[in-house]
Amino acid sequence: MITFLAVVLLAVGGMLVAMAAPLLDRRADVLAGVTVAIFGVTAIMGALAYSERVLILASLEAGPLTGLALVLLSVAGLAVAWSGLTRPQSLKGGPGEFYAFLLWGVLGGVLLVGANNLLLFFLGLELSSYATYVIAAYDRDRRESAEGATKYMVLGALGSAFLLYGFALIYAATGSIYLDAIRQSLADGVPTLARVGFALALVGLGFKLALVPFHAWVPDAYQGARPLGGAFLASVPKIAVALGLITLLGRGFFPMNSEAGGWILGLAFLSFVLGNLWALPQENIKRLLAYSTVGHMGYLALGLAVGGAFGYASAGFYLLAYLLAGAGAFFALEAAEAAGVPSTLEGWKGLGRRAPLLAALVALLFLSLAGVPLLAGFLAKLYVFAAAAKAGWYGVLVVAVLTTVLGYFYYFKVLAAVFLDAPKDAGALNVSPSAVALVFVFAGLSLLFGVWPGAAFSVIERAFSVFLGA
Amino acid sequence: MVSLLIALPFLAAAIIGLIADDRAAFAKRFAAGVSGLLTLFSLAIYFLYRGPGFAFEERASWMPFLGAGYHVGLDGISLPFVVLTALLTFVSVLASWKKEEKSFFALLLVLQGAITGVFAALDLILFFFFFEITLVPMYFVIAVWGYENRRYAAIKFLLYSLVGSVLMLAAILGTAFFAQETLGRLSFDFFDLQKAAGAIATLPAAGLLFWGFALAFLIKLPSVPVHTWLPHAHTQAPTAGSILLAGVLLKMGGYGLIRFNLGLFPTQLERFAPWLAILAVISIIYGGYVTLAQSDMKRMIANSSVNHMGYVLLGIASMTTIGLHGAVYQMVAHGIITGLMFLMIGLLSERTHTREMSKMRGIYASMPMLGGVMWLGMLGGLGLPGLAGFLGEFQSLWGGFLGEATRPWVWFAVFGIVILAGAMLWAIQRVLLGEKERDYPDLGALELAAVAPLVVLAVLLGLVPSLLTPWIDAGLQPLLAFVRGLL
Repeated sequence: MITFLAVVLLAVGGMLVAMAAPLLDRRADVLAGVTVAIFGVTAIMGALAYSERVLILASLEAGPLTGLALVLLSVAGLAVAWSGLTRPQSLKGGPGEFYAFLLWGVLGGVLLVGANNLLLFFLGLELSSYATYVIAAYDRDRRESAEGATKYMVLGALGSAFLLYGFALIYAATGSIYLDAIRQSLADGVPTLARVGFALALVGLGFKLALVPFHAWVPDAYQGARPLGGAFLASVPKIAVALGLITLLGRGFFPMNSEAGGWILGLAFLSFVLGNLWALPQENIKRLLAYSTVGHMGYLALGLAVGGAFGYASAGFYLLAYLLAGAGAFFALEAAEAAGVPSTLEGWKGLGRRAPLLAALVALLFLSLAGVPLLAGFLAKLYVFAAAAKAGWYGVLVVAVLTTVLGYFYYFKVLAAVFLDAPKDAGALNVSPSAVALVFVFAGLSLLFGVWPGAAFSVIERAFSVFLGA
Repeated sequence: MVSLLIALPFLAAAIIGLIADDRAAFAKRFAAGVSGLLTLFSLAIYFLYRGPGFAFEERASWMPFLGAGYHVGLDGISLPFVVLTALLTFVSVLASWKKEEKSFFALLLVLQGAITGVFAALDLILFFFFFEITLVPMYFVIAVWGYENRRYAAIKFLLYSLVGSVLMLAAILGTAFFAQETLGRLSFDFFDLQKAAGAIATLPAAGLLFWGFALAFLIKLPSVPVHTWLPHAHTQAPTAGSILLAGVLLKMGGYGLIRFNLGLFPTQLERFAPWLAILAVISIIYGGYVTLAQSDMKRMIANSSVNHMGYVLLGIASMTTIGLHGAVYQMVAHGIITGLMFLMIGLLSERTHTREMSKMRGIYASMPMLGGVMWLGMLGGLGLPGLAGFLGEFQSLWGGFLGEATRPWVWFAVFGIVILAGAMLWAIQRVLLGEKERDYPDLGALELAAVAPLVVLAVLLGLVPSLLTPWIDAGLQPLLAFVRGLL
């Protein structure tokens, strides 16, 4: 029931925020405060929902996996809302819409992960996607923002169409839209139609996860959005879709897991090889992070492809580490942009001298993204690679570890600009303390989970064990 | 106790990072205090050690779901390097007293903690963890405080090391997952994997696993043909960076070859020993030749490391007791003597503002103390009996003559000795001898304090090998007994 209450709270909260916005005379700080509070409550509810085992209306599974998604998504949403406080006056498109879509984006993610029903899954995915389109397009008077969001929306809609077509075929093959019924139906043998249907659904999810070859929208959408939007793009839809894919695989399509694992492995392989290669020449840091996201999603999908409690848990920990470091990096960009520093290598030159604390935190986050030990990013890669070794995919493993070297190269390129180059404008930056505090929390948690992963990993691992046992 | 040696430097670095300290006045004193204290502490552990085998083990649960635990311990092979790490960090801090950025000292401490962790780790994941951490502080030390070509040198160092180490990670994972079948559980513990070493040896992929480890360590060592990062990194690094690079960072390579390639894959080492012997001999000769050709003094000493590390590889490839003794002894001696040489070159070029040998003459005449120590360092570098370097080279060569795989090749190494001696003597003639051109201030009190422990050790370990050999023996005997059981 707690899960259900959280869903209601997110839905109603979003409506209230949207409707209250004009009444509050567009007081962005109040709206942000309310949103932060709602996310705080839903995060706690997610932790409580961890021990729930209920199937609500035969469609929404309230269990540890949904609880986990609720916690991760709420934390991501909370951080984005908090980060919006840095420049409340810049939310020109109306703060009510921004915060309402933030809440609904998280709501969609929770529905998608908890779905026991293909329709609810699709509904959650679309709700979450629409929120990301709105947030990507939020700076509507900036050409880049509109361009990136348009590309994103057109390709996203295409992805959704593939997904829906796939679901239709699955329904045709199995006669049900309920995942547990689909699983029973497939247990006797997987008909070709269901196989095609799942492949099409995978294409759709590949779009949302930014896996190669469905990644074409990624760089423009990330570059066009403000860093805050980038943080949202890098966290909420990624968590939702990755966990949602596990829901599909584990709950409905379990009988064809090994086959589907092979397809996902192909996408993963392309993503971590090409994503990392494409990131190499980037000069715009948002674009660089966008391509690196493709690479990161590749590593994550490697864990998904292996499957089983360990494979999923390794992907789950990767999500956590990427949420902290990837979104954290965008929050750092937001803090720097708010202080007037453009998100380019040129602009970031000498940041170490102009804003030493922010630069030190940036270093931690980028080192975590690169996969340097002491930080969560290293252990996340380690678990995913261990999962690949467990599956016996040594050839893939060797290529994957080599691609991390590329990652080091471009992340260190940014760090070299920050710490080695002389700033053009030597003045100290006036960075908002609340923005730095947010980055500090994300970097600090990266360090904490990088040294002491045990508790986080066992929470994640147990969620998947329970989920797979169900 | 061992955990303190690892954790305290990290903690001290964090404290330095958090305390506002504009001109690093506190940071350098604090760093010197911590590393000095840890030197004494590790020295106490050194003399408390009673072999054979591992002592001071500490275990804690870390990542039970992966079979990786926190497990540290020291034996006679790793102990000397742990002491050396603390000592050389102390020396490096003293040698960098003019630096005014506190982050420099924090990075040196992070490096100290990580390198100590590498030598102490008895879990392969933990080992890799520390092995990778070392790259980051060293990258920044070179890239921020290095000489003119620092950024190129730093990124080259980083990428070269990484390619080796990520492949090692794949090999570590592969070894543990293959060993799982024998052990019945997934474990990265060194002792557990040793129990499975017999089964690992029969795997078709054993050779690949061996090379996964070996490549990382050969790059670190470095051996020809994967040595090309070294002259850049050593030459461009600031004095403290060069001291730590040459003194202990390279030793991770030799240490890793002995601990893991010999300790886990002895049959594969035996199989590939002729190849390693050839690489060793090429390193010895080629390293000597390249040393001879240098005009930059720092680059010269950097290249001489290739030659010196060739003996280490030769000793390991011989797979004989005496050869392995030589390898470890040579690593310790090289750490002291080359560390000393980089320190002296740093002090010298601070005064002359050049590292070009052709622009320096009569250094001994103008600075008797500095010049005298350089004499000692150069002679130590060419392996003069009575100084620490001789014993290492001698035992490695002796082992090379005894070992089956190395015997056909070891003769050529003799040329390397002559060539390197020529290079060193020629450098002495050009730089130290001759009329003095101008007066420079000789070593100050602080500089002497940095130099003194290294000079004392270089002489002491040359004359009193019983200060080191029994320790090496206590570490090697159980290892060799294990290896003989498998071969």
